[in-house]
Amino acid sequence: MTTQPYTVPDVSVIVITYNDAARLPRAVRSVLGQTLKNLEVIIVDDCSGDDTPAVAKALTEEDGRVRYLRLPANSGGCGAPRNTGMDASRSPFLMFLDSDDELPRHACKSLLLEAEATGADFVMGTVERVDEATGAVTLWYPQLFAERRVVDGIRAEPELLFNCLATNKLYRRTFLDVTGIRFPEDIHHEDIVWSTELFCRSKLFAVVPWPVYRWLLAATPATRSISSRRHELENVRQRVAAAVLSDRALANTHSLDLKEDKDFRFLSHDLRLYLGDLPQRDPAWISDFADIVIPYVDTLEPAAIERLTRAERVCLQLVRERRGAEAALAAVELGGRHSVPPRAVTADGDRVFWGTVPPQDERARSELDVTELRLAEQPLSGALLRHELIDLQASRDRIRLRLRTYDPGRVLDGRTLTAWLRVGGRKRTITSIPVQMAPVVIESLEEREKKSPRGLEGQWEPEEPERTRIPRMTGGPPEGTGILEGTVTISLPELEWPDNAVRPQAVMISLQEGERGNLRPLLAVPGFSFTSVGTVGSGRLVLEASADLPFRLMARRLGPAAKRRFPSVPELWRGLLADLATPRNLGRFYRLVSMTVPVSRNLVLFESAEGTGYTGNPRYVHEELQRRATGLRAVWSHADVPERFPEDVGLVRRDTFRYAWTLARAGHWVDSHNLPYCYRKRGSTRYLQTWHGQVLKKMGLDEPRHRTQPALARKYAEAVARWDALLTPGPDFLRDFAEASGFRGELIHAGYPRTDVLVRHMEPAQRERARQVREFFEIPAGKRVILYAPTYRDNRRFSGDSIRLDLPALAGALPPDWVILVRAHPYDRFTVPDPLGWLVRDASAFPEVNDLMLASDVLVTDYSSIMFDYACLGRPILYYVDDYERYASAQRGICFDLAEVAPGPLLREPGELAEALERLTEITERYRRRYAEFRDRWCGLDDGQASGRVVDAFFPEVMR
Amino acid sequence: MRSRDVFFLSTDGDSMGGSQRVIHTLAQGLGSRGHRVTLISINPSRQPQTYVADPVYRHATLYDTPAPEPAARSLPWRRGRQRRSPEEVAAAKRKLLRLTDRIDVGHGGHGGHGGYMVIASPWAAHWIADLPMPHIAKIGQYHQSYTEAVDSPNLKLIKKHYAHLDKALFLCDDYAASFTAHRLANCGTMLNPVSVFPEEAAPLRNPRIVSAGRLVRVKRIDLLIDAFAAAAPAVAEPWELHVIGDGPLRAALEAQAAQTGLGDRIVFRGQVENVEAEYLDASIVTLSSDFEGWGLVLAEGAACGLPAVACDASAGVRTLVEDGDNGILAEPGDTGSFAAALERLMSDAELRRRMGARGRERMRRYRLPRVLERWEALFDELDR
Repeated sequence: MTTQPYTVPDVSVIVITYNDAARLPRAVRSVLGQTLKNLEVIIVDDCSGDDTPAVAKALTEEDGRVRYLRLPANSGGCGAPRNTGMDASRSPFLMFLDSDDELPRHACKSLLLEAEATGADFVMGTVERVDEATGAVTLWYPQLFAERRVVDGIRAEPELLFNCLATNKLYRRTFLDVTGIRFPEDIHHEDIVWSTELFCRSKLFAVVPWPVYRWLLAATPATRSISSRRHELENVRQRVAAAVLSDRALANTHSLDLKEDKDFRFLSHDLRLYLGDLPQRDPAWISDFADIVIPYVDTLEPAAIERLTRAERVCLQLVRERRGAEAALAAVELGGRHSVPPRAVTADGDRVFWGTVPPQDERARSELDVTELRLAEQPLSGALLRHELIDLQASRDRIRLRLRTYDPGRVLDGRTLTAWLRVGGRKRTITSIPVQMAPVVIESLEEREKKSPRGLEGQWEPEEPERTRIPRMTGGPPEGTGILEGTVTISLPELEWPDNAVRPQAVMISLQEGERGNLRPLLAVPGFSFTSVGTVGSGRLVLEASADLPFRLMARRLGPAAKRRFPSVPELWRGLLADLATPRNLGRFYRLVSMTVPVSRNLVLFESAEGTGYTGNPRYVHEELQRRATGLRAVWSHADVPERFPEDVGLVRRDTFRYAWTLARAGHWVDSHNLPYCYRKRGSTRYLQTWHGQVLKKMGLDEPRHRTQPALARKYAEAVARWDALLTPGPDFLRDFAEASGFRGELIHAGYPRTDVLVRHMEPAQRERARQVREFFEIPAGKRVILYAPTYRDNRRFSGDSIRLDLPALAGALPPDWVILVRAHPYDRFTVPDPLGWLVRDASAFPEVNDLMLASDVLVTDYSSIMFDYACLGRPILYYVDDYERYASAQRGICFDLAEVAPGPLLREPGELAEALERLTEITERYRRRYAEFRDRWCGLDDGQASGRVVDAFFPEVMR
Repeated sequence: MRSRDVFFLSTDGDSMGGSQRVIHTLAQGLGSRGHRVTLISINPSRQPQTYVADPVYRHATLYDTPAPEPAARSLPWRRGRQRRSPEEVAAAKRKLLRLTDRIDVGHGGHGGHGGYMVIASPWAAHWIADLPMPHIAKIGQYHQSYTEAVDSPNLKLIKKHYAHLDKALFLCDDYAASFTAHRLANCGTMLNPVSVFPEEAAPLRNPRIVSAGRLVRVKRIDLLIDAFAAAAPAVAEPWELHVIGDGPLRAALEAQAAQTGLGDRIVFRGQVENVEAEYLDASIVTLSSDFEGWGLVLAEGAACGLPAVACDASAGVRTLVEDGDNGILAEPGDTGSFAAALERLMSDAELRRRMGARGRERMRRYRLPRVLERWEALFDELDR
């Protein structure tokens, strides 16, 4: 389709190119295919030597909207071609595109409409980065563009200085003309200078959240553009030159008040790119690099340096001190989620510094201070360990790895540990191989010479710079040295690798001490070359660097699995049954059994929290039945987690045919969540619905989804109709749940069995449970425990969004004697952020939440029903509800106003929470009356004897 | 003004429903303004409605038989739902291509499209996702609220399909902004036309409150009855509450009304022929739903010059009723504040008159000619 040029195009897109004839048509066609038709494309060719002229000519003939300009001589940068294009354009709006990238289809139209609607000088949007090899899409600094907005000048949002690209914007022509902004022509990184001036001169610009530029990352390094040539020192010089020009732009536009923000941008974006590469550079390069950047860095605002992360500050200081090898070590995990500690630290008073050399001056003291990692205060789960891969040998069917683990905090000393090399994500383990690890002593050449003069013992190799030895045994467990070494052999023929694990998998080291563990990544040492193992394992297993963190080790399987053994008949049978176990088939099987097989009156099926554990009301009903030694036989349903149940209870795995069989045979069901809808209960089975908490949020037929989707509501009503008896803990529950669920059967007003142990928390058995929890989580004596247990957010399940507390901020504000147990809702996830292991423990997987409550001193929650149980303990409850309005309205809605009834204060800032904890006695006093009213209203029936009443009511045949 | 080819595509365009009414109203309106309009329903309806007596638009269905219904659940081994055969699907898709293919491409000059297809739901967009129609500008419309999209498969479908259409349209700016926050680049707002707009506003002389809608749980007529019972005794005039519509809860609600002691003043009218006349006979319109994406009742009531009392159920409701301007908003589910709002309006004729006039003013931009102009402006925007 040919389209004739319009008289005045709405937008000119200036496509600059140099020796890129192969990709130019892709870029130009992405503009011609825009939803905006009334535009022009100006190809500016920086005097290419390839067949760009012919390709461009063809494009102009293909579509009349394309124009082609060619510079008489190569300019070597992007500035001159872009300026030429600007001069040639005829439109009221301009955009820039590089010939190796693309514009998303709506980019021009959506930016144009936004510019027209807002009157902004320019509009900028999100950049998509597409890895051409894998097709994976990531967004560039997405948080900058998260909201659609109009900004009254850069001072309103100085962090937007990070958007230093010229390409993700649409410019108003008159604004560029009036201000006279042009690209500098004699340097690379011209867009940094351009953007700085742009931001300083504009009084009104707009931001949109959608992608307006597609940045394509070429698969092969040979085709990488200027921005990817960071290994060249000339590139570093250009970057600094651009920063100097930006400073001049600030001065010229009377914007020196923005200098600190601009300096922070330089340090944390521009310089940071090079720091991240340091592990790939040799010390000589790093020394030259320091000569270029440090003189400039030393002119920057000290406040900007203080805004960097601790790891970045350490790295920069090591560069400054020309400690190249150590800088490379420090840079290994910049930008990663983990805090990777130094190999060793130096203590001086109460401060701890990076490395074995004490800091030489005041600046070094402030920059190399790693006290905040609290290396020695970490429990095993939070221990900051540095696992390095030091040697790798591959043969045809075997890979042998040697690892060294640095434990600068000496957390591992005196523990009996097992170690595993674990391949897989945090949730899923692909394979786990034992590692033999033992403490070692590393002796440098000098130390060895001191001990035994060279040549005397003969076996020392003087050329070896260092040598490890196993410390002398003195009986008992080996003494800790802060360094461990181990070897692990991966036998490829025995390696199990599921067919669906196609992505590269993280290689981690897992250390276990009983149930406690530590899981951290395995890193390559700087200079380690992965090319030597590229084809290891005859095409079966590849160990390689991670794509975004080049010193994380990843494993990937290439080609088919080693040998496909034909499965045995039982395996085939199990596989077939698993495939057939769809809800519909299970439902049919259940009905078939209930039509033909009589019910077994003394069989009780228990299920709690969808089979995820031995907990909740069903557990305490079960234990009451056990106490009475009835003839009833109990079977517990489990969702593939048998290890969470005591050994003496019968188990059946959920969603299997055996489960359907057990359900059909059982005379009683006791459950807390509503059993799968596919089982339409037979008449002779009695179903006790205990439910799993009192209600704050709207439930049952009152939930928006049930109101808007009648089919869903009908299914729900059918499922509720199965319940024969419903446990009610109080009058509010009756109204907000029993009625809202449309339940019509027998109500058992008994209180909650699960609160019995909480009411009776002073009894020795309960105190013992609390002690065990403290021991398990390594909570030092004298520390007090916050249990933080928020509920999940609808539509944001498993996003981590329910953990609203800003833990790093809280760490700074909290009085020193607190430890936080975080209990994420089963529908959400949580991991302890580094280095906060000393303060925070992840208790999400702990089997019994009652025990956590017993071990805690105060509860922090939001809208979770845990508040009603916790009130039985009588200990203080604080609410952290920074999203209260949103939850109450946009979320599913709540049944009563928390602010009116809460037995503790509603807090919205980490600072407020810290203050409340400081004045806990005062708050307890202030809320005494409210707390009592709350208990009366919601815990009125909870007197520690509820289990007995429930059993009396639901199992009348059972003797007391 | 140039004449255009416009297609309305919906999965079920002839059944009873609010969005169907809107589509037919728009088709007739655009047809009357000289555009060549075709209304395409993917499935024929089991109970087709007649929305427009003398259509000036073409009308087509793609399948020959209505959508299969879920089979009765009598036997456990019966298949739950019959599906259409692949041949049937292919034939229907070919039919759609034929219908849209007769278009004179390039008609109307530079950048013009061969036609404009208004897709009424994410499911319809899903159905045509694999059909090549490069000459047609495609506009996805979503007739529900953002919350409803989040609670259903629609959010995923919108992100998957509407993102690639030329425009995605939502009922109010607030909903459009919520989808934009998902990084969709092409969101906009299109108002639904209000077909009721009498020459003369309601005289507001009868002491009568009107409510219209199906008698189902979500509409919370129970709350309305309680609120009315609480407010009525405090006002001197003998106000009546007229509940229009039918539904499964009718008997229960009638019993509840009888218990209030105001049984004769709460009138259940069932289905009525002429809703407009009911609005004109009343003085206050109410919407007591916990949940409502937009609220056609409020729009029609305001167009007739009635002040409103409504639960602040969504951004859609807030675009129709501004608290204190053309009505009073109550907390959703809160009988007390609803009763207080009713009482305030019932006891103040001057306030009713002022708010009623403001409501009618507010509804002017929802009048059909204005909405049709917005559609034509949208077609112009797509042509740029």
